[in-house]
Amino acid sequence: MMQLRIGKGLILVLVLFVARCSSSPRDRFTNQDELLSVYMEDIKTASVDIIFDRGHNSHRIYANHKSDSPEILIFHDRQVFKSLKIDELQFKDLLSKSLQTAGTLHRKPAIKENSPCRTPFVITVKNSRETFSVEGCRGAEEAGGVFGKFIAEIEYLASSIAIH
Amino acid sequence: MHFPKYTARLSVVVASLVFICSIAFQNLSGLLAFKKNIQSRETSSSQEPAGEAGLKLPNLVEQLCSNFYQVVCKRTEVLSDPTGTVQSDIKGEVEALRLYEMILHEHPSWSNEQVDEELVNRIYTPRRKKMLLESYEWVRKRIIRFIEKQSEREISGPIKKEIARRLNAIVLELPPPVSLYANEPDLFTKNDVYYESLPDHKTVIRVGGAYLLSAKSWFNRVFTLAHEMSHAIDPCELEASNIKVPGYEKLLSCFQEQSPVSHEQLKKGCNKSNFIGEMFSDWIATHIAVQAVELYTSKFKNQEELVNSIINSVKDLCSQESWIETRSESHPDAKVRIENIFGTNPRIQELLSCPIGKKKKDYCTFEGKR
Repeated sequence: MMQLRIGKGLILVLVLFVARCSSSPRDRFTNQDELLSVYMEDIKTASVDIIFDRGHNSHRIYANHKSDSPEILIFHDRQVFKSLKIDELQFKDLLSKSLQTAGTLHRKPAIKENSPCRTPFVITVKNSRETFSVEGCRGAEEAGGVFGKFIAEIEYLASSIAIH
Repeated sequence: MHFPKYTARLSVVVASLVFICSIAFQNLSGLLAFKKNIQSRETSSSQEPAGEAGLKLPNLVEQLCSNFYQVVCKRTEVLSDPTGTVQSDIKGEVEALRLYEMILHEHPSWSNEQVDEELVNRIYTPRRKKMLLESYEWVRKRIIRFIEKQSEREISGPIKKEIARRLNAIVLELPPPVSLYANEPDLFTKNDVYYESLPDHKTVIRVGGAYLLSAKSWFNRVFTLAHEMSHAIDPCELEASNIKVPGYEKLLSCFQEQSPVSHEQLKKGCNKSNFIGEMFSDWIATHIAVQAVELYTSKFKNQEELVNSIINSVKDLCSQESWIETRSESHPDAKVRIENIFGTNPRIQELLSCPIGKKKKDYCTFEGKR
């Protein structure tokens, strides 16, 4: 009887574990603040990775928080084009903005149904505990151009950091 | 995000330019060479010898005939053809940023929107737009004619009409106004040129501002526009509308037989990647680029001009690799695009006077191999 109870308990724990692993953070954290707090708790391992293709060109912006010096890397032709040190506050801003944009695009998926996507993008925000990733197609986005405006902001931020 | 005001904005641009320039110039043999290239590009008339890097023309042609990709991509010098040059992507972006800085200096009180509007006015000038539109119209007519010439067995009459309709429906979107690229505000300073079908079923081709500054060669523009335009009629696009074309199937089978495309890639079809669409668009663009070179043949003063025009057609295809894992095969390898599809085209080989039989291979057509 005892063995049966332990067995059931194990199954329940396993089921809960699998359920936790298979659902995305967005499904588990209903609001943006809660999601952000998960990343803030372990910010030293956090990173933001933004990739987008257009025509035959591929672009990438990557930010991480290595030790005490967060940085942004912008790639051109698979080589580092810009490498910038940023401060804690700027990194948190970027993390927050990335989660906000990814959350918006997750709620309103920009997916093309009837024809191939020629302007795909992927935003991945992760730390040692969580990975939140959203992908889509710029061409399928509503007129707002959430992704395009987000990129313009990041590039401007990266440039403004360069002078400090 | 916290952004500084005007003074910071100005400094930002200055700092960015300094940084980008230093990288660009390190990689590209110095400021003087860069200025020289810019000047020669603007005048579009200088005649740099093809063998500038120490390779004499007969040797260059011989190498092109045997290893087209190597010659096009491993040589770093900028070649002038009678219509212009093709600079590296990064140079176009540096030039676009330089213009931005100039506008900020001239109009310190302007808002971001006003600066963008002016940047667009300076890059997308009426002259540049006119030249691009003329190229676009020329390419559109040539593709339609090329399709019309195919036999009924390969492409039926109604499908030819549908193809022409699709090509005629594409809009070449060129700002101003800035609002035209409202959802792509990062495009003004980029080299990207792309075709897209929008949610409202409108089909467009958009051109990054830096491309207008870096690619002045008409031959490159012809290939680029023909490639993008061909996406409107590529197998993936037609398959999405349940249109099957016998000629397309024969062409793809031939690609598979000759290995530029694997059985696996064909099987994946258009679901995960657009590999097939890219191959097809390169193949059509090659035919149109050949026509462009043929049209110019009587105007070439010497063989160098011919060779440079051919190389410039595909010079910007050398670097391209997606970061997106699922799309790592979205475009064929640069070598496949430049050599297997473009370089081995029989007319390209003839125009270069390549020795008959050297690298002779059946070339894929709508009828299969030829």
